[in-house]
Amino acid sequence: MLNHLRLSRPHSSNGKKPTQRSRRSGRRGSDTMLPLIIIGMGVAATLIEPKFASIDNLTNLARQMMPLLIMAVGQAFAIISGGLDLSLAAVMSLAGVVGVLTMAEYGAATGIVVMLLTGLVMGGVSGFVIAYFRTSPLVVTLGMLSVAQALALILSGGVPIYTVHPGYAQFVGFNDWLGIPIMVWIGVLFTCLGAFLLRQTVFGRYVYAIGSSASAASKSGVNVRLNTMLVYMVSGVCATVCGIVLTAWTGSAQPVAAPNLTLESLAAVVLGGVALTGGSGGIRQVVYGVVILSMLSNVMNMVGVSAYYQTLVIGIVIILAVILDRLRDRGQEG
Amino acid sequence: MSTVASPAASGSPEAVSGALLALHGISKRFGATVALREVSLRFQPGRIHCLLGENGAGKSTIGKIAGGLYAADSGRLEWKGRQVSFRHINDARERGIGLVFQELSLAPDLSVRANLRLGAEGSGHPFCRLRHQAETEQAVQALERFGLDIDLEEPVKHLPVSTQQMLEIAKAFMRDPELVVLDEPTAMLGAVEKQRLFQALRAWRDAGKALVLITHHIEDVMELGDHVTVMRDGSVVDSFPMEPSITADDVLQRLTGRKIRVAKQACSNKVEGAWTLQVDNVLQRDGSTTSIRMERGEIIGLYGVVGSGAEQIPRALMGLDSKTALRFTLNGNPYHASSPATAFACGVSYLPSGRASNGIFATLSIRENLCLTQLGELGRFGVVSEPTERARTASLLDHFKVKYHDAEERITSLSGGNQQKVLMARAMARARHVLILEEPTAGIDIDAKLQIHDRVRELTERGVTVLLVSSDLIETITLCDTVYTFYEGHVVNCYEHPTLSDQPDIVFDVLGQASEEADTAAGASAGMGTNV
Repeated sequence: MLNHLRLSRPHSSNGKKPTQRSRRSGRRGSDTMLPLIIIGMGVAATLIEPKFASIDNLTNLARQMMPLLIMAVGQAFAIISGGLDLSLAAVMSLAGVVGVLTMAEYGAATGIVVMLLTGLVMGGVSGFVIAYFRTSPLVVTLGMLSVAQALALILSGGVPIYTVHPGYAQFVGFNDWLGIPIMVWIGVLFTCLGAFLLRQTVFGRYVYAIGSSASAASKSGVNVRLNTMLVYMVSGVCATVCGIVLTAWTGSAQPVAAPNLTLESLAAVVLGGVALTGGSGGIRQVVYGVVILSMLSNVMNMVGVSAYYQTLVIGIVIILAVILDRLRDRGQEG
Repeated sequence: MSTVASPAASGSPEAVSGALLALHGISKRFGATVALREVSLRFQPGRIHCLLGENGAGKSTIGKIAGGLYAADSGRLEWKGRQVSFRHINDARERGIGLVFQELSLAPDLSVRANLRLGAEGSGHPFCRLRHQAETEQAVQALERFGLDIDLEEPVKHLPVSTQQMLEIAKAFMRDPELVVLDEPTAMLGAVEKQRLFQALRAWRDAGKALVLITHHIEDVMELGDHVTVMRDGSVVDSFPMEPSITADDVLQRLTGRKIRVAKQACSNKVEGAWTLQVDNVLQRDGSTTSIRMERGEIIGLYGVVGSGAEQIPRALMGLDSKTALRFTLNGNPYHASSPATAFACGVSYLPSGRASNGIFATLSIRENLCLTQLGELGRFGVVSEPTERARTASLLDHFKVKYHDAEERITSLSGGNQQKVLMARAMARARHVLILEEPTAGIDIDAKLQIHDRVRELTERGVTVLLVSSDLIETITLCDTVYTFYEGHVVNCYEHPTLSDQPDIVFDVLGQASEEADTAAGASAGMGTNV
């Protein structure tokens, strides 16, 4: 009955080629807004406290930023895949304790390998349980937090270990290369590696696909289980690298090292504009989030804001960031 | 019911040798439900094989077994004459079987390009690199074939559903399969997209591919089918090659096992001169505006292709479009809804399209789903009286002829058609003046559809005005007293008491061709109404 109609005209493209707009031009506005906020904060900080812009302070700021940055990269993988990893700080503590104990016996290189293995195994176990038993990442990594924390306490006897391999502590924690601390190099290298994995590899594509719709990914032939497990192995390795840096820098392995770091990494990822529902965002946003959080605490420290108020300010900033993000989204829809 | 399948042995002898994929005695059960009983079918290259049947007949299950998503409980599969078993969707895909999912397999946040290649990026290890440039080239080719002009980097979630549906199909064809199973590919397509898809499918058939079209639209079968298999309750009831002498009525009869009325029912409850709702500022073709009046008990159809603006009136009525220019008068008073909640409070009720996402609460029971919006009336001081609620549930389910075991079971235990009846009951219970129905019978079988139509007519007896937005033109014509057609945001024509013979004119309108024809052939739009 429709045959007598000419069907070529309306809405048809008439042989027009599909558009190839420049990549990511349609992305969300955070790409310009957050860098502007960072620059604004830098200028404001310099006006309030000229010492902020000194080389010394900036180097110090870069060092302070690294543990959070490395951990947030790992957290980003988990969040983009539609999950999250609450065990990061505990795995980091465990890796630190295991590493320092191994180094005392077998040397620094072996120690570092054992640390990395620790992260891989802990992340692998979490990932395995999440992927193969279809359990909630929240609960599994919460359990893993407890397990890793307990193991760290048992191995260390509940006290910090200060007998850190001196060569390793000196090299990772305090040496420079080209005027930039080794630990900053490590952090930057890992961030770049994370960005490469997410954007340039098949695995990275699958992380986004699984976070966006696990059932669509599975129906498209993606091995959802394997890739979910890999996600938590990546986040476990990030926690370990964070442990390597932190142990060297503080010259000690704490059984409960920086427990706030897990939640801060979550905060940084959200602050950068990565959706907690998964499937979107990227390492660039994570870096923005980390820089903003670290600058805030650096400036407040210099100005002498008390720790209580610092926590308050950071909390408010995170909540504001989430509201802003929603408003921006709504603007795009309408 | 006879469970003895008359397997596809009825196919011609030369077909037996040429089968690309053959199913032999396939059975499959899900828990206590038997989805397929001893089904045997052959799919041949260069033919479009239609699987026709009502919901729950087992059509989709066949598609998913052929595509490697499900494993059969018994029976065997033969691919090019050799026995195969698919453990994973990728096994089937590597042999050359593509699957187009009814519920789509697109990741909403990924770009068009990434989605088209998802799962086929490369056979290497997970950490091998993506080849962005090659992907772009392949994606451009695939989109051109279907005449899609979209930004490759756009996240799929920003695209209209019909475009997503086309992408899903393009995605399956990108892997250059020899056999493609399409599960309800036209469910979300407008008339134009549908024709474009059919053209592409014919081209694929002529290139020697085997196509399996799962559908419950007889029009699709009539237009495309080379071979038709009719299924009912998990068995093949009939399988025959399509010949010009076979009419839609014949197919329908074989499908339902009896004659079905598709004729228009003359039972208008429209009350002349007693209008409920007036819509002002409706855009016309020449840019001027007009008003539409809707009488008490009238059923009004708003018909147009996707993006035509047919949905603008319902959206504005429900307060879902804050920027609307439309102005409403309800029962003589100005009406403005800032949100669906205010609309409901004014007696304007709404059944949105998208049963799974906008309709049911999958984790709640049938009773909870049904009574959710009426809890206020079912008790006192915010405390719901359980006996009242149960009594109300039982009477409503009964009245809407819902087939259920226990109202305390989850709503997902019902079939799609019965879920839709529950949602219909829920929406109708709150309709005091106006009821808006969006795709009320999408994806449900013909019996449930007719029952829902009966309930709608019943509602108009109580003086409620019904607005219907449906992509099903036959439904729009048979159910409505008045049909307005839309094209690119403006109203084109008004058909009072439409009949099935108005179909060509209506299709003409919504494809935007009436506008140019109107100048040359004045009589082209004979059904044009005058009350606009």
